[in-house]
Amino acid sequence: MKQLKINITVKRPGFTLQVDELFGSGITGIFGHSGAGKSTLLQCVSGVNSPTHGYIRIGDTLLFCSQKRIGRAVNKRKVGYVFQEGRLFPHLSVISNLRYGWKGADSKVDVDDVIELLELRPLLHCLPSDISGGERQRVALGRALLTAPEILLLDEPFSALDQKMRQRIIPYIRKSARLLRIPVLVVSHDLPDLLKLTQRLCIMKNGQVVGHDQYEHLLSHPNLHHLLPVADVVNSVQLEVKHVNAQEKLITLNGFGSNRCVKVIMEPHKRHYATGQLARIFLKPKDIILSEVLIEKTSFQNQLAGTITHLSDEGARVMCQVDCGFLLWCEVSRASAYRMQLTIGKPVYCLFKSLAIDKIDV
Amino acid sequence: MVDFEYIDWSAIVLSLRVAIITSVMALPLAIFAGYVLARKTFAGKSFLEAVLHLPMVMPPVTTGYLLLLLFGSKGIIGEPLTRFFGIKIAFTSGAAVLASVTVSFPLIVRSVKIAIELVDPCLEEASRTLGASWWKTFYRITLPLAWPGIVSGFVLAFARSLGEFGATITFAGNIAGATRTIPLAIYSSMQMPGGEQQSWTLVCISIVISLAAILLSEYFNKYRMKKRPHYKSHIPLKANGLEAA
Repeated sequence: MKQLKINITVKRPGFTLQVDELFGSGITGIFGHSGAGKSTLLQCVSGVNSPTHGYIRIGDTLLFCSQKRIGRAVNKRKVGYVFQEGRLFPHLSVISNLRYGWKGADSKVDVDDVIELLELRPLLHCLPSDISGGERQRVALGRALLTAPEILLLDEPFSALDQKMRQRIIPYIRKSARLLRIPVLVVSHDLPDLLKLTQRLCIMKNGQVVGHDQYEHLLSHPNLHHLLPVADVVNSVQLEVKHVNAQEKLITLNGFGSNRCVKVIMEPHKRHYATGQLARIFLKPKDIILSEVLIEKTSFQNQLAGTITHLSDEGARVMCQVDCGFLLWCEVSRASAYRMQLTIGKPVYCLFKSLAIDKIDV
Repeated sequence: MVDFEYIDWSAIVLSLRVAIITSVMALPLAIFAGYVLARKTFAGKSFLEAVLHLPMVMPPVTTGYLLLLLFGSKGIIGEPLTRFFGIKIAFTSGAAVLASVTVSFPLIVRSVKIAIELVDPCLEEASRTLGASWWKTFYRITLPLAWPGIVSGFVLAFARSLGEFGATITFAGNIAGATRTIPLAIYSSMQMPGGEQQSWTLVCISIVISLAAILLSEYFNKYRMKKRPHYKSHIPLKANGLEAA
């Protein structure tokens, strides 16, 4: 399995990018705000842009090395690049776009396999102007897969799509990563979207990598706000389906080794839920309410008992980490934290609506 | 109105021949020059562009005069050509072609340059990331997308050659059967007492040829658009300075 090693410095007027990271196979999300250097990083790997110095290596092959004066041409790098806008060739049909970079029958990737995988069969003879944004993005993905790349780069694959389309493209990206078993780097400035795709994150800030780990490890970092702006933090927890109530359209999930349950509503388009199935839930810290007592006669479906394990002062707000079988970050105003006298070790209840939870199947 | 007895067939055949040779010769050169001007940056680019466009704005007689200075029997290029190779250009049908190429080249270059500039360089970048060489990118992406502009440039060059008068009469002369193209024939018959009928016939014929050329190019563009409905011709014919002719 080929790994991607990047050790580069890019100097531009008023901006320096410095990265020294190793990316294994599977999806890594590269998260950061605009100007953090995410796109520059991808451009350097693809060869569209050149680092000032350093090296980029896939397996044992050097793509770029300032010391040895190696700089492979873009078309010789075997890097699949899915651009933000798709960049399909407007004068070619979908099938011609797909075949554009295909190396012929000797290729490791088969055209029909990709068409089936990405469900492109009905679109083959359409022109890019006749299909939707999500479909265009899928064609762009397929086109990149068919070049049999050794790494796949996706630059903001969600930003041109609306919320519904975003949900739909995610399984395709995951299937693609499984098909090729190569490093896949996905750049995004939207953390919830990235987390639905992968839990392995590389966080960039001002041209530097400030964290590269599994999201849950990053979340337990004591100085979380150094890694992620508070406003971006979202809880991501993997749970197991314990009970399905079809009548109330409610699913009960529970954590491994924990008897505390989380109730989530059923998505309307999905009918089949099996007990034991894994699911991941996403919950924003500001959607969680802390209470010292259980509240009866309320519409809150979820009231989880836990203890505060960490408190982080963020100015007008306080971030509390609560252990309720799994860790949850909750956000309260400074005034509330003071009134409730929140301290580490204090038992609290985390209250949240089942509607506030975003859920995906794993 | 149009009396076939008066048709100066030699002028028509010569005009068409000159126009076709001119546009066919100018096209590949213009695609190369247009691509370089649209996509490359280099020192002296503005100057080169200005020089290339000069014949478009200069009075054609001036262009003809300069060509005569260069390629005439005593010219810097013409003299050694005659001495070493026995080639004589000035006052031959070759001179008519050279004069036409010189004046119509800027029009076709301009048209091709604008057409290539309108092709999103991001698409070329995408093609490269898909493993395509420069050459494949050029003929599969750049050229097809710039096609309508290239066709209209070709037609412009053709039309400009048909209408070429000043440079031709100065550099190639007005020799019946050798360098007398339609405009020159019209001019000559106008000078002749009783030549009105012949002038009128040639005027009508030149209108028909020009109209046919434009209609043909429009048809060609439409045919491509029909095949690929998203295709939009970015280059209106008029925007390319047909006025200069």
